[in-house]
Amino acid sequence: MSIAILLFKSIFWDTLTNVLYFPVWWYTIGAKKRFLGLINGVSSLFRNLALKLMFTHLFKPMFGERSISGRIISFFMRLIILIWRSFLFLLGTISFFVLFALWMILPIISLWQIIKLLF
Amino acid sequence: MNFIICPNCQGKTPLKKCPTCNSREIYAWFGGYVLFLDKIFNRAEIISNGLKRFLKVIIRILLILFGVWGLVCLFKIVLNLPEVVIPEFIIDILNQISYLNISQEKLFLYIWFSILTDCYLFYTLEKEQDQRRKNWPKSTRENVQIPENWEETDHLAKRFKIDVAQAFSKNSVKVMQKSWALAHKLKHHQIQPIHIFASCLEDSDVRLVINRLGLNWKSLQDKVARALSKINRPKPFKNVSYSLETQKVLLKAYVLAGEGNSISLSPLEILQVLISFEGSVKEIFYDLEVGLNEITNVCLWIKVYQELSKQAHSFAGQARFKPKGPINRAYTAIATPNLDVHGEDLTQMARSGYLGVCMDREKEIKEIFRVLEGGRPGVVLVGQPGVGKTTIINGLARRMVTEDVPEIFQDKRLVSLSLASLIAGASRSGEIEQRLQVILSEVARSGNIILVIKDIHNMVGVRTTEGELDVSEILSSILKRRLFLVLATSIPSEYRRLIETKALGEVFQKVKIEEPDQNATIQILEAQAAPIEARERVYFSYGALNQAVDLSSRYLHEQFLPDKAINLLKEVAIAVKNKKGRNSIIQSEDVAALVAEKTNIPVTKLTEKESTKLLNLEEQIHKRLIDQNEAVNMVSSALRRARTELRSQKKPIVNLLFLGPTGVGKTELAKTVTEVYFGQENRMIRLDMSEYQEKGSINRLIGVPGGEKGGLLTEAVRLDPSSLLLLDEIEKAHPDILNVFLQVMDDGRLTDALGRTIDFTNLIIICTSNAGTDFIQEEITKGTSVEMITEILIQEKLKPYFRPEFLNRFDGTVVFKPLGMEEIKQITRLLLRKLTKQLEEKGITLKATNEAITELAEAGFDPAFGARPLRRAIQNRVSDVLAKLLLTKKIGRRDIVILEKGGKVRVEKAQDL
Repeated sequence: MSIAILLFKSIFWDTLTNVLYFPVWWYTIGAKKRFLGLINGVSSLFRNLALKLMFTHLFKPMFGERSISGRIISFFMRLIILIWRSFLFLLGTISFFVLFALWMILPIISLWQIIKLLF
Repeated sequence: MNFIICPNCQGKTPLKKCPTCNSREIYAWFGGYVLFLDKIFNRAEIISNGLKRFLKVIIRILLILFGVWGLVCLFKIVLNLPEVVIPEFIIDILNQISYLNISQEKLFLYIWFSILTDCYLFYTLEKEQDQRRKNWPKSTRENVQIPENWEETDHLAKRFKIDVAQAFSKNSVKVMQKSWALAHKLKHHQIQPIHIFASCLEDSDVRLVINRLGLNWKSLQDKVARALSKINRPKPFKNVSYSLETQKVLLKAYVLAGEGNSISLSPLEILQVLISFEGSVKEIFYDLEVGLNEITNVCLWIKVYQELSKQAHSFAGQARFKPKGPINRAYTAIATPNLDVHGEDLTQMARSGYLGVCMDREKEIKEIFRVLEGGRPGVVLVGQPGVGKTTIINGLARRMVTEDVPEIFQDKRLVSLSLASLIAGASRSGEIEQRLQVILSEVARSGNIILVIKDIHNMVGVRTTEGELDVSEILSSILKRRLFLVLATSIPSEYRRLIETKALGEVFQKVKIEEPDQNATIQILEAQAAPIEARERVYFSYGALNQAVDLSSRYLHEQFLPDKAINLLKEVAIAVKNKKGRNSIIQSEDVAALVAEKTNIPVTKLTEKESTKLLNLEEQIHKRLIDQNEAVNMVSSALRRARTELRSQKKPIVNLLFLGPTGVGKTELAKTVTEVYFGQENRMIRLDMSEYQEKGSINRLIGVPGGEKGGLLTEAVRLDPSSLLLLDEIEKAHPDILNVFLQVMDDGRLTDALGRTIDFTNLIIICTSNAGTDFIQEEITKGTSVEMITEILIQEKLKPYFRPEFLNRFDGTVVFKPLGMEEIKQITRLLLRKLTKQLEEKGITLKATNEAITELAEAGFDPAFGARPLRRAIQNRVSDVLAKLLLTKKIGRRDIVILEKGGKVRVEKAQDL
């Protein structure tokens, strides 16, 4: 292959195919990766906040306090922690979904706005 | 891997396009896929790649700038909103833009457009990363018919064909481009493996491999240059293409990279394949004493380093979620003040990065998990000291930090209970027991603790109150209730003695920790070398690691791998740092020198001086020993074989049987060999076998069963494994004792009464015997040849004394000839020379006339006793006279004493000064 053909291929053809492939990639491979990232993020948030652990241990006394008063205090303490962490989890999950939604709509909105502003 | 070559061009049409294969020349068939190499790294490719990179950078800069412009526009719009407070300096900048007089509508247009371009920038960056993803099919295709010819292969569906060039890493592409440039510069019409290798040498990872191999750069580059200069230059030179060999190398490298789970085909894989192909590259490495195994292991070492640093990064990330204190994530744990005093939290130490990684112990860790998940409350890791029990526990602690463990280990901490701390300061009756009870109760109540007790056998018998349970029994009784889990360690002998049949044995399941094999140890050392290198600022060559493993397993017998090899490396690192300074590379010879120093075994490479000494061994021995050429030659050859490592490594250096009458030089030869080979005469273990005529005397040799001491023989060999073992008058030993030596001579090892295996492979074993003496003397007088005498002795005369299998174990049976008058005269001269040396120290010169020597020889000659009476004769006739002269001060410094005929001693007094 001569240098001229290769150069043409490098500068024009590759760039053009790159640009044309952009929307395809964005809504297929890119979207899939973001979705997997969303699931991954939510599950690690769930794990790191130890929500399952807090839920299964709801009636277990904290710090080995097995007296009745200890158990009652523990239950309410755990309930408060569970509610607070659930709130954090919800907040985190919503943020992940918002980010995913942005991924999906941002190029369309911007394109639509550009068209609207131009014509 | 099958190669299918174009039948038309046979891969030999670099200049013209082949109509059959279209210059593809070769296919490789592997795992149900067809591999080929389509990319040609030529000048056009190099220029176009460069331009592509340049354009990419320009486009990215423009996209970033446009993105910034979009942000500025956004600020401008926000600025116009009345409620937003903006810092002064931003307002100033934005006001500048006002001068541009951009309408609100245009600002919005810029913003939306910049969002789109930002998305595009993101897409290009991520796509580039995606391109570095695995370029290998997920699995091999089973039950596929292998294509038989080019046609069939060529017509296979596209999805089953892989262009290996797509898998090249950036560095590999660079290597290929440089190879093309090199071949072009040298006007070679083909890129051959040597061009690829020469270009590989510029790659940073390959340079690391070469450095780790401890190779000399100059010598390597010279060899490469010479190999390149030997390649033909065709005329006229037109273009450069790949040789068939090069294509094979690259196709095979692709498979190798895939098998090693690499992300892309790196120069390291190319290097590994280069050395496995016949050709100049292999020859160069062969000449530099580097084989495929070494290269593979060093490449693995570099990958291990990269993997470890990646792991360290992800470990730090995951460790953040492990609670810092004693409380677990479920808040069920309680404070454990007593345990905290007497224990050490391993998970916390691992979390803070104080515990090292555990390599190659997946099998053992899985077994621990299996046993504990199966319901046993405890596991005891049983292995020799230094095989890695603590490392396994540390590895477990690290896995608990990242929660990469089964559920019963999750959200728990691993705490090591210190027995010393538990016992220390306990003076009151029952105090230790009470402390342990409190601690175990804390552990049970807390519920998030897995207890580690190292050397648990030390617990047995520890008590402060008489007649009550000891601490091990307290532990086992609590453990039976399965309230918590315990991980313990012990050594085999103590486990057998104190745990297996006792209370602890019932609750603990044994997990055997074996010594890793040599290759696994090398990999462990590769991981362990980094901290030593960082601390001492020296670098290990691969040869040094290999040598450390090899020599420590061969010569350091009472320690175990990998610990002994790691300790050796630590020691050698300090020694080399002190000797050669920082940033030195530790070579295999440095390790050998240290081992030689520690064990007194010559393991270093032969020096010029030593080679000369070995070549002239006979001459050296004859300085002390007269005649007996056959015996001297046999011993000398054995020593040369031993030193050049051309002997069996599993047997003693040599087993020799010396036969002959008394006083002919059997023991003297043994002494001489010890002095010449080992440097000192005292490196000889001498056992008079007439003392071992009883069956029970075997206990003196190898120790009393159940005793605490080893035997005379085993202890002596254990302390000096490289020496000469002289067994005098072997025929007098009890037959059972001969059986012991039968094993020693065959296997090169012996187990003593304490169960230790003693290494005999660096011993020279010489047995002397007077059996058949009369026969030897008779036959010599008859003039029978020594060979014939030896033959008859072995076949007949020795049978009443030794079993045939015992005689078979000897590498040589040497018959010592009775001495004649001439030999006695020479020995007289030798003995007088010794006396002369003694007198020289007193400043006196001793001379003897030939007549006096003959007289002394005649007086000391007895055919039945050989040269033995000669010593007495010299003692009586010369030494005694000299002693009297010295005491009466009749001789002094500078005087000359002359022995004359008739036993006269004349003194020539020196002139007064």
